[in-house]
Amino acid sequence: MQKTMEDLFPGNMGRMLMIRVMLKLRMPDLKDMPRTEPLDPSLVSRLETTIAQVQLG
Amino acid sequence: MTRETGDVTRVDHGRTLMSGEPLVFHCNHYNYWLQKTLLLPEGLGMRAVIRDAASSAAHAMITQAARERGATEPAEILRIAADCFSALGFGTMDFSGAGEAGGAVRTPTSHYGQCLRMASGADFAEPQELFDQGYAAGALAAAHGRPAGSYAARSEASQSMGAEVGEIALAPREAPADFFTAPGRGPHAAGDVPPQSPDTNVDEGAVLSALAGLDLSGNEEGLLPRFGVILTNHFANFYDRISFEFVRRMDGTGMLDMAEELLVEAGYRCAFNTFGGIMTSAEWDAVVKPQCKTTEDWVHGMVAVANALGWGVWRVHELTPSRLVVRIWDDYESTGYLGMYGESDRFVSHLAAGGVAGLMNLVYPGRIAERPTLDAEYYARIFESPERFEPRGVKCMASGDAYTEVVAER
Repeated sequence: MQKTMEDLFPGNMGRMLMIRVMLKLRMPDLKDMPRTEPLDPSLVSRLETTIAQVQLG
Repeated sequence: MTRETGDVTRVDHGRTLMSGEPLVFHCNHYNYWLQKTLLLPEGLGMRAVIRDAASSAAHAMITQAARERGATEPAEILRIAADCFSALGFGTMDFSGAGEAGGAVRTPTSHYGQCLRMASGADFAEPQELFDQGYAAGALAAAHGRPAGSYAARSEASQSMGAEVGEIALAPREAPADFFTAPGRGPHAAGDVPPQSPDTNVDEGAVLSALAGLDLSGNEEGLLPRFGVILTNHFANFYDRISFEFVRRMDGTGMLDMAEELLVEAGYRCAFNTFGGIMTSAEWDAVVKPQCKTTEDWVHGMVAVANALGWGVWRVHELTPSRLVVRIWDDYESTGYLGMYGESDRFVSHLAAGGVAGLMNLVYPGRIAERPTLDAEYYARIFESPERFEPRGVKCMASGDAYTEVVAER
């Protein structure tokens, strides 16, 4: 099943994580993306890689 | 333990200066989350901004401290610099390998090298001791009578990356013409601040008197563990410069609001850890808790303690279980902004905003009076709660208002 923004960034904690990813990738468009629509797998991969980087110290 | 530092001066509105540089208490959690935020976007040049802000504030303080102590020889001035570094909770700094031509500065202990890891919960990908690098560069410049930006600094060994001892390499350089100059105390509010709210059983004067008796200087390792966190008595101008330069550099990216929201979140985490640590401490139990007859008294009590942190004077203007209005005179973010950039067209007191909301979240949905464990699970529970408070900056001294006002509402 394809992942959504909600899957990657759930809740308020997820929203703050999304902002961090947004700044890291310089992708302001992320905040306007539909929360529950399936994302392109290449974007999911890029976001997951960045989430891992952001979650490092 | 005898240390030779600069003169400490208490000035109006809860502010404290060391040799003219305003100081504010902040913990390792705030230092971690703030720096993490600033370093997120690639290409902003924030590492240099952080180093240079530290260098400028350290240079100003150490130059003045040397005058106060009558020190003129570089070795004497560097001893003062090392003593100040330890007294303020930054760690220990050994300048014996550095001279006018540069060299190596060692940090056997370091707040940024060792204490941010406790807050991060994860390993670091890059050295975190940017402040130490700037401080060392500023100190060496002050010792040799050179301008603040006269040394370039880089990490040779980082405790945040696993090294046993930190090492910083310093090399002379031409001081950049536009090098940041710390504005000292900067502009501040004239006139009196209203008294503490009468709607509380907490006696702020008694709280401040009790706190004034605590030794809040660095221990033998130059670190300042208190209230379950590791504190620093830090340069307000450092925080202001790095935060506002981040905001300035994010302007035009389409992400300015989000960047500011992360600065508020850093303040929120500061409140969660520092305020939470204070409100579950033995000192709180001894001094403040006996005065707390109502839930609202816990808010008033923490505001009284916050007024000992150097952040300006906080006054509870309005308080119900669903709303807190705090007015702040000389909040250090506003005074720093005014001193560095002049009047702002935006609200700049992000730490204060996060702190006000964080306080309400601890007291009401967080039930801090029941002494919860201040861990990640507790943080997430409050942050995800539909009962949580959100802050709103209403007035700001940096924008020309007589005081800064933050409203936190559910």
